[in-house]
Amino acid sequence: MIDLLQQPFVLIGLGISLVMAGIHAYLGFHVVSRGVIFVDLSLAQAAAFGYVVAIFAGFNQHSLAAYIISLCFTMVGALLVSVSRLADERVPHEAFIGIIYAGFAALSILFLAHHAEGMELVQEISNGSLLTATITELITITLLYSGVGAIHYFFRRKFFMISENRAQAAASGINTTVWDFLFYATFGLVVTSSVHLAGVLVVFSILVIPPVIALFFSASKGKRLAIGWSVAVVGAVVGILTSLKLDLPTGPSIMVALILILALSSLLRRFAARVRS
Amino acid sequence: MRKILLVALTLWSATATAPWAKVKVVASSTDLASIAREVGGALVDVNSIGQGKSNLHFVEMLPSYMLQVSKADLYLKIGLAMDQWADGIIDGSRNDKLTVVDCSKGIDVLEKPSGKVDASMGDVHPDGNPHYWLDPRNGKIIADNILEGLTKVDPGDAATYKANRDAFEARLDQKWQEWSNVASAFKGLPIVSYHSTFVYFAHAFGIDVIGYVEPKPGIEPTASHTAELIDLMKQRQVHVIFREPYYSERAPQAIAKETGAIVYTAPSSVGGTDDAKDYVSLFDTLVGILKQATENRP
Repeated sequence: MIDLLQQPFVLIGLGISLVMAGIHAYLGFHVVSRGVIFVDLSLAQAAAFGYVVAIFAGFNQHSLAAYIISLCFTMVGALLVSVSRLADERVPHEAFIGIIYAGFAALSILFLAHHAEGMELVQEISNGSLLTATITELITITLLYSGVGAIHYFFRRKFFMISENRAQAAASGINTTVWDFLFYATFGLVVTSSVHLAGVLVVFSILVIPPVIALFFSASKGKRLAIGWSVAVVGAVVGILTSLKLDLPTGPSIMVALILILALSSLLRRFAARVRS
Repeated sequence: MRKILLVALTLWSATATAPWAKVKVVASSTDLASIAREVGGALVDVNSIGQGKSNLHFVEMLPSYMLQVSKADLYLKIGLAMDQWADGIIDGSRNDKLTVVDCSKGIDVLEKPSGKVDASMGDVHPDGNPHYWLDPRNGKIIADNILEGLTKVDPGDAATYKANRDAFEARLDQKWQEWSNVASAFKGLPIVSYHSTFVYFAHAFGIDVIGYVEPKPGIEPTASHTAELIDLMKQRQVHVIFREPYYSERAPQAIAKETGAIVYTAPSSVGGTDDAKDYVSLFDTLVGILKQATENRP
């Protein structure tokens, strides 16, 4: 175990999971507050479809052109997510998010029906492994996520107001669609990079589970963020160490670690409630 | 504290290299691992990342793969774009002392696409069909490549490796005669396989793979292709379907029901079925299946 921890691949994997925990537990706070749980899947699928279009147009999958096309489709996805929120909530926003996911997934399959090489690529996009990430990737996402973090810090009042009380935000004259687009655009940027590195299921778990646990224990924004971050970091580290110790795939180990923390937290909360009464 | 010291000491003694330590070899597939055991004999310790029953096109990453390679002396790649995942493991292990041997070196590659490969051809390997180990004559070329690698990492034992290689190749030559004799009974036999796995095998033993369950390599069976395949099989009176152990039995069985053919689980690697214990018994198994199939012929 000790010599395992000195392995560069373990250190890079841990580094990436910590950077991911930092930004995702924060973004997850917004996602859970807004009730758009599956938005990461929709945007990741939009990005994957971008790669499909790039291959279809004859670009190499690893070229800059393919990356830019994929980014454009992520932005199209972000735009669709932000305009599909109906003011009166006749149709739940999550319904449209699901439809956007299904639409991009179906289009990808149709485009690739006779292009199997791309199917492997789509798998590659959604099945990253933390263990084979490189130091360059660690540096890239650290810079990228810091940039996104800075934008969110700068506009924090607007983002939080929309997440926590949409009606009040709209009443105070904020153009929610424009700010939603900025939110989902930056979110899409983070999610597509993370999905490529860690796989779609890990990203989903680290995004949603920590903020849900935080809601068990506190209603205040500051405390929820702090709990979310702690859970994400503990879940990522425990997951990776378990995966090393028992020689299991890293992604599912992190997910199970987070779910166990969720289960323990739920028991703890019930116990605390009983003691109080 | 004492416990930590003890753990550290155990780890140190386990990882420190002693002069009597074996050469550590990691291979992408069980087939390369099996040949490496033949050439390396008692001097090497061989592990394989791909398993006999798994599809070598895809590998789920485990921490132990990285760890094995970080401590290895020699890595044996399949090459021909088959095990691109191995690059992730090799790079990630950051082992500066690792020697990497591409075992496809010197192979007469089949189905090498002429002209430009594009995505519409399916999951075609631009370097040609990569299942070259399924021609037992290529086993000798693989053994030569492994010998070269072992000699490089452990020059002191070069003579032993060479003698082992010679003995293995002599055995393959002798088995080749035996297999060829059996195979004369099914020369020209038309078969269908799931994926384009047995192209080298067919080339070696003179059987005729007339079609695949997959419409194009790596693409799931479609209705129209299956219908065409059934027609072709009836027309050519094909009664043998080879299914690699990692592909679903559904489509082959459905086709078998329509055509009266029999589906055989054909190992494409050492360990693919229980009989295929090493490189030589892999061919014993495959030749045996075809012999049985010829006898079963309705």
